Amino acid sequence: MVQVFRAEWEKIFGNRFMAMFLIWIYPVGTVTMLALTALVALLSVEMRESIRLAPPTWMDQALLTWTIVNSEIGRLFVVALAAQVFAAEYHHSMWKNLLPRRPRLHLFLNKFLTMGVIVLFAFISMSVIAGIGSGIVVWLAGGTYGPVPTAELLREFLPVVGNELLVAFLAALFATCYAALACVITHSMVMATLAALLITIGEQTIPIILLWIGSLANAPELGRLWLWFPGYNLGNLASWGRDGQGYVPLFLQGINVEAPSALTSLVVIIVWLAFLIGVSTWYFRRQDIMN
Amino acid sequence: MAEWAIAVQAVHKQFGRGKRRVHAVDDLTLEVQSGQVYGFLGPNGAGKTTTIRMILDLITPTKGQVRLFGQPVRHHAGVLNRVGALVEGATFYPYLTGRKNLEVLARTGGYFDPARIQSLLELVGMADRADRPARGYSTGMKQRMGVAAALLGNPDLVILDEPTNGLDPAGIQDMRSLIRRLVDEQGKTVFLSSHMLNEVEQICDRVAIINRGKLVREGAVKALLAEKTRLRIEASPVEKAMQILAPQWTLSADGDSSFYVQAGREQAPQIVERLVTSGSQVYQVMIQQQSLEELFFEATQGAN
Repeated sequence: MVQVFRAEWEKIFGNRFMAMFLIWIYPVGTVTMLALTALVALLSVEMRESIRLAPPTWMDQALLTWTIVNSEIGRLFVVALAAQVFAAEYHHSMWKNLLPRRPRLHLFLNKFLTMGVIVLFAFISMSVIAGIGSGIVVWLAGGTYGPVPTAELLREFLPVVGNELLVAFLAALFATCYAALACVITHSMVMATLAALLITIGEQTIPIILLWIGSLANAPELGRLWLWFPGYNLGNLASWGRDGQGYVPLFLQGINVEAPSALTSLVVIIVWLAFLIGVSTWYFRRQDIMN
Repeated sequence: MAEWAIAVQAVHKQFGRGKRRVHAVDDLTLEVQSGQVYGFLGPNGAGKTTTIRMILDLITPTKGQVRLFGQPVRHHAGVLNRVGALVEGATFYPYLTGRKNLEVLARTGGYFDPARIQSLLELVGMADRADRPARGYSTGMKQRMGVAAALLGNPDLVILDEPTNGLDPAGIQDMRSLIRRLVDEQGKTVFLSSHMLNEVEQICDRVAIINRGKLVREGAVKALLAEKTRLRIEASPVEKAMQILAPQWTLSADGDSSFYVQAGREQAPQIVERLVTSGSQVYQVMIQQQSLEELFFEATQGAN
């Protein structure tokens, strides 16, 4: 399995154009942003002064990255990368060369594994670079970068950042699943990217649809169904990590709804992921490879 | 008992539904014995590539089953590890070098070995061009790399779909000798689909001809070609000689001084004796076998 993983890795990073824009953009983009900030800080007295007076903490900086990767724009890169990874074999007519060498299930699941590792690599490197790089900017501005990372502080901070990482990773996996499913159906990178994006964004409209149907049917409790969707559970999981409590969406606050526990949300998410991976794998295993 | 490398058993493949339904392969049964070069012929759209794809488990038969070395091929089942294939034109990741492409394929198969990759590159004459991106390769270069890719896992069965497409005459000759060497020296089985009938006639032990998804001829090349031998007889006077033979054999003229008799080698002495005793002068008798090309056209056009 290590060899198959390595093969997938070489294919992805061998496509330098794709790797640069969809993987390296995370660490390289962070370095570029920090370098520009440092340059402005070096050139502008006002900028140095403002950094000195209100220096960011390394914790804020490390957490900021997760806000970016969890945003819709951040998700776009993951979707595009997943579409490239899954559709490349159709695009280059490579399945006919690969499938006789390894069972379909292995090859398909290996793509999910490789995507997961790459996403983790990109996100973690971005977070670490942001944490360290901001320190350099603050140092250049003559400020103090803190607080000192004591054992107690790390004990508090690591679970928070770990939860952000988990949510970002799970969200990336959902984007990957949507792209994979769209790829095996459409065989096209562009169509898969568009379809996956539509699903990702379209999921946010489900509460509105539920509300609308609920009001038409005079059954506002229909809105509870939203608690079973991935979008809500990702948000709920993030809320438990950040605030120590779940959240009830505004539109459900009129009816008696309690936020599920973090564990429940995690289970719901895992079931959804297993379902999506299962469906795309089932479809792929039955598919005739014609090109 | 000989081992069947490939056993295609009453396989049927249908694409589409309703009015758009196409029977690409129709009740096809083939058995390919190990240790031979087996030619698989048919006009465009006859179902050759569909059959090859079913053998490789790339597409699922609508009915019937394919077995390789005695094991069913569906859902891989491990037996495909003994197969190497070049299907319908070699394809590669254009952004990777030829060598990197082979490395990726070898890693996928779990038999990565840089020394073997280098030796295969030398075997197909691509060692000096292996470190260029595949996007710059000509069709012939891709075909050579495709053959190297097929041989990566040292397979027992090599399936080559039009391997000489895009190759120059020297390349075709190299490919021919390579295919024979794979069988004669390494004991592999080669399943060869090709439009180059002359090439197939030269290197294949057996052939199958399919048309419109159905098997129309199958057998050892020598036996198939010997089925329809004819004698070319140069005799004088031609008209008289033809009159003598006409009641018993089918004849056709061939210029002013010779004619053909639809007869086999074993009938030659009888025919010559008949001509000589009736006063004809016989100058030359040649036994002519039909070519594979003639057999192919007879089989495929007859079916049409």
